[in-house]
Amino acid sequence: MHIFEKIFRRGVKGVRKIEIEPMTRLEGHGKIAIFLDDKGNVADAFYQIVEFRGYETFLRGLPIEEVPRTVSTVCGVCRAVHFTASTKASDGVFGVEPTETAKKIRELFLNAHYVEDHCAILYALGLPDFVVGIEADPAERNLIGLIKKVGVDVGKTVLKKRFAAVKVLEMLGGKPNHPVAGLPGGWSKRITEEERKEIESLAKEMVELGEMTLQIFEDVILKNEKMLELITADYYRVVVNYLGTVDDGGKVNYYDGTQVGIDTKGNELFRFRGKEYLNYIAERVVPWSYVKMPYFKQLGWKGFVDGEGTSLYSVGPLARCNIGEMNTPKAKEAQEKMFDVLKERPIHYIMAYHWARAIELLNAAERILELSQDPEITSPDVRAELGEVTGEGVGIIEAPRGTLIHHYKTDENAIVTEANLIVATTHNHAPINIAIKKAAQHFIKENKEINDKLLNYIEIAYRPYDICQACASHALPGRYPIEVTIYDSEGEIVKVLRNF
Amino acid sequence: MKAIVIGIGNPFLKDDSVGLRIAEEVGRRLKVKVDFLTNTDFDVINKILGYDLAVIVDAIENRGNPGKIHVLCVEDLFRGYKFSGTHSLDLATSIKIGYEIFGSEMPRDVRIVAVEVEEIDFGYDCSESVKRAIPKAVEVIERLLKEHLENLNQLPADQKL
Repeated sequence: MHIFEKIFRRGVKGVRKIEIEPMTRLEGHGKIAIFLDDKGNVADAFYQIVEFRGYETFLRGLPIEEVPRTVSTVCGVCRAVHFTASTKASDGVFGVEPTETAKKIRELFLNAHYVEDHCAILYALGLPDFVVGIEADPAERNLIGLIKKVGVDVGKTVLKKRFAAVKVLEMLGGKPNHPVAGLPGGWSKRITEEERKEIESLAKEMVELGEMTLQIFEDVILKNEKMLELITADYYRVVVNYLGTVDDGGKVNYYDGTQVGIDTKGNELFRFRGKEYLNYIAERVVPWSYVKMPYFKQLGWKGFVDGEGTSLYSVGPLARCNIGEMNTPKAKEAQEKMFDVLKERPIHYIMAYHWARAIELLNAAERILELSQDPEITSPDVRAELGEVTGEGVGIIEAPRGTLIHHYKTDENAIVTEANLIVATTHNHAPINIAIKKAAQHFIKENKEINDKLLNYIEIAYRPYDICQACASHALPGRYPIEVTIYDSEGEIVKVLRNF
Repeated sequence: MKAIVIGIGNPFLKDDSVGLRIAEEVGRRLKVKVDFLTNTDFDVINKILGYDLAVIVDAIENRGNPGKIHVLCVEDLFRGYKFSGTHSLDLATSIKIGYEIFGSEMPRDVRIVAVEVEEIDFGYDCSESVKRAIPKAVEVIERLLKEHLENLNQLPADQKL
């Protein structure tokens, strides 16, 4: 039984009630609780995220065709992914298969989102830990510190090339930052030849961005033995199963395909499509979290343990790299190099999430270039005729953070009666907990001072997963705070660390 | 003078949408470029690059006076680079990064017009107190644009854009 459960059931001196109080329903403190044993070593650690159900209730009563435009506001950062997943789900509700051109436009749109999103996460949040150094002052360990290391011109180039992806998103989405162009059965506007040429030109810049990012990774991280030691450190290694999406040829596909689950050794466990997800993913209720813990149903709940035999799984860039080949040449080459250097497949080193993210940045850019050169992309055949209302639709895509599931039930008029959204951070909830616990166990030792550096080491443990706390509301000052509370074996608070 | 007014917010979260609504109203009433954002990361830099003045309109947390309008500069919101987020960047950090990287390509002046929220929950309309602030905020923005133009006119010729 976990310490948290003991506290809930029996109570521990000094802790009568563990409070999880988000500031609003959608946004709140990320709360981490760390429990020490009698000797001052870490016995357990828990990360609590906020429930995602607000939007699911809000969507009830909406016509399904309004849903994509609404869910694009779930998160200001993840807008294109919720839009794409729900547009796919709306196809199912109307029993329609989109035209080939519409599928390609949607795929292009999603890949543009990958470029801008992966770029932001890598340069603003991921790479500074490595390039500036994990021991650096947090005031320097950020994008500004990174630019000081690699040069302001590199920073300028990165942001300008990222803006190329944003431009494609706005061009295809039909409205700045709030995409509206997706429709059941297709897309509301075709791509003109003039637009195609512009996208092709912008895609070339994005490919350069991808290559440049991997070069920075190579020069600054892979050539530095200390950084390689960090990437391959046991305390940043979480051995779990993985879930991701591949096409018929086994290659990673962000927009469409079959969902594949593999075990900790890389053996395929199952495949599913659409609504079948309910047969393969189960959710465990835990007493200390609003969010259920997903696990692979066929393996049964084995608790919060990693290692061979666990039923926990991860999604996201590293999961996808572990499951399938990249579907473009330069990214595939980079993917093989990652496996060669880290000498394991599947890779369980969570720091490799950043490396996989850089590989996917290049992959998405290459895929945009390919699609922009596809003769079919400018076809006017962008919408299929709707069928009868089926009353149910499931849209599954690979969001940058991992597998995203939108599942809707409707009445006979296609008005939403039920909605279920499973986002990447929910899939990754249990592995994030394990990652935090392992880092805490390594860095908090008997008699060792607990200081602000600990927060840094713990941040490094969860940052690879790029936690999205449904940041739909962002009212100023617009920060997403994390609070770490450390309890001794009697349940007394020893220390509270905050990044706000 | 090249000026832009950017509304930030979520249209489906009551008072969180106030920045979008004010920017829409500015677009209807004033002759100025208007744009919209749903986040405060690097996209902010993208939108304001090349402008002389950027007015960013957003909701701000309830400080006891819902509907109160605050006119802030970036430094008022900036709490240092020490903070590292989990998922995105806050407005002040993004703008500061913009100045570090793009220098003089960034606006000479960035003003933030922020309206204190009363309620952030699902809904298509703002609360009454925040709704009443919308026309006042438009007047504030009109004044900021005029002041900036006057200041520009007083600059020596070689410093004008």
